[in-house]
Amino acid sequence: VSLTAGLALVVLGAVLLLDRTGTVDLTFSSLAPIAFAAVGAILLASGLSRGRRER
Amino acid sequence: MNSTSDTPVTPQPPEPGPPAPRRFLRSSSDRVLGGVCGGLGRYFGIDSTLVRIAFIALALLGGTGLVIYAAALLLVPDDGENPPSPTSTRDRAIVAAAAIALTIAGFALGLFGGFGFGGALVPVAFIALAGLAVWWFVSGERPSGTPGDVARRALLGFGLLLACGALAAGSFFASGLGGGVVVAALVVTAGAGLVAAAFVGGARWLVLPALAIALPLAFVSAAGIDLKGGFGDRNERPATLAELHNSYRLGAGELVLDLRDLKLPAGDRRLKIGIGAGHALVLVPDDVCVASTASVGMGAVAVFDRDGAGIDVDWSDGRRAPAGTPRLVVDGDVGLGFLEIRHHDDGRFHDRGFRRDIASERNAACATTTASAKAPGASHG
Repeated sequence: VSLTAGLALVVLGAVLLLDRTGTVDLTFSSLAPIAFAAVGAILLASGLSRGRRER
Repeated sequence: MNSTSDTPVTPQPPEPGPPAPRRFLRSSSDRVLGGVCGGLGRYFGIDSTLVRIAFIALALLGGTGLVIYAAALLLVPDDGENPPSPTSTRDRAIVAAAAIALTIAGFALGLFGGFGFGGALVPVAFIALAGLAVWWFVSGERPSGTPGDVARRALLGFGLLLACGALAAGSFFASGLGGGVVVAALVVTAGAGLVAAAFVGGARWLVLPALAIALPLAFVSAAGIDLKGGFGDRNERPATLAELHNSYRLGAGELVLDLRDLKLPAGDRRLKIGIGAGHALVLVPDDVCVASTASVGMGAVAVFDRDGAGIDVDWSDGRRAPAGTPRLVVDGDVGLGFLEIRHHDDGRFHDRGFRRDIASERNAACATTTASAKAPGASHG
């Protein structure tokens, strides 16, 4: 979970860095899929790690 | 010889004293959060689910349930029958959601005055419960143990919440004032720290501060909030064309630009209005046609009898002025807030706040109209 959350933060930070430097222009519509994908990845990782522990 | 001395004496059972008073203790076996409802159910001999339903109903009725629950959590000891089980990932997710919901609800109630029967105790209950939820999420320690333990966790959690709030506010203002690159670099660094922590252990606590700086930056970036240009209320009323600037910008607050004293010449006059967060009101003379475009991250645009509201609002209201008459071409840039163009200031915004009622005023000095707003909630009169 820590690994996935860290990777998600790195990706989010990189996208925000690109926006702040003017390379891309973020809007709510473009940011929402990134945010949902990050949350989904963390939940997936959490579920997989729990399943592994239970086995 | 005393015959009685040889008789074996059988110990008599002690006299049954008065029954020990029942004590209300938080249950360590029947608990969802702190075992308050489980303890109450056991004390009164009723199903604890019914107690939970009653608490939720009371919480919705003005927050009284929250006050009672927080008080019980802080004052009633744990029965200590079962050691607390380790906090699972699922529990953490629930607790994180509860912490976020409590914080948002607390702020919303504070802002809009939603306190009911619980009165001023409701914010205290929110603080205590949000603090406990935050501490539970971060440390994995359930609200178990003595009232002192619970109070200590609530305080630590609330302190953490305050620290994260300060970080979030700092991130918001730093990003809005042009320091977004540094803040984004911090987010990347925190993310890299978490990746490293996955292999060497520790530093899981970085998630909370990293989110506290990442989320405001994401909001500022998505809404396009630019806080440069000052804060507060600003009133501009140019009396001559020489005093009229091509561009006006305010970081946060209310900008009122009153152009009604101006006699604009025939032809186009371009004007840029920028506001990071707040309200911009442009008042124009009755005989001036206004064409407008605007980009709004989150908020609304109202140009006379037309308006558009929502997120990512891309407003365009193309108008042509009859030959030989003036036309004001306004280009608005609003991060979070409301851009309004009107002939008269009727105090609508100041007195009643923003309401999406269509003004009776019309852009009557124009010849033809073409308006569009790419956002949900746009309407055209």
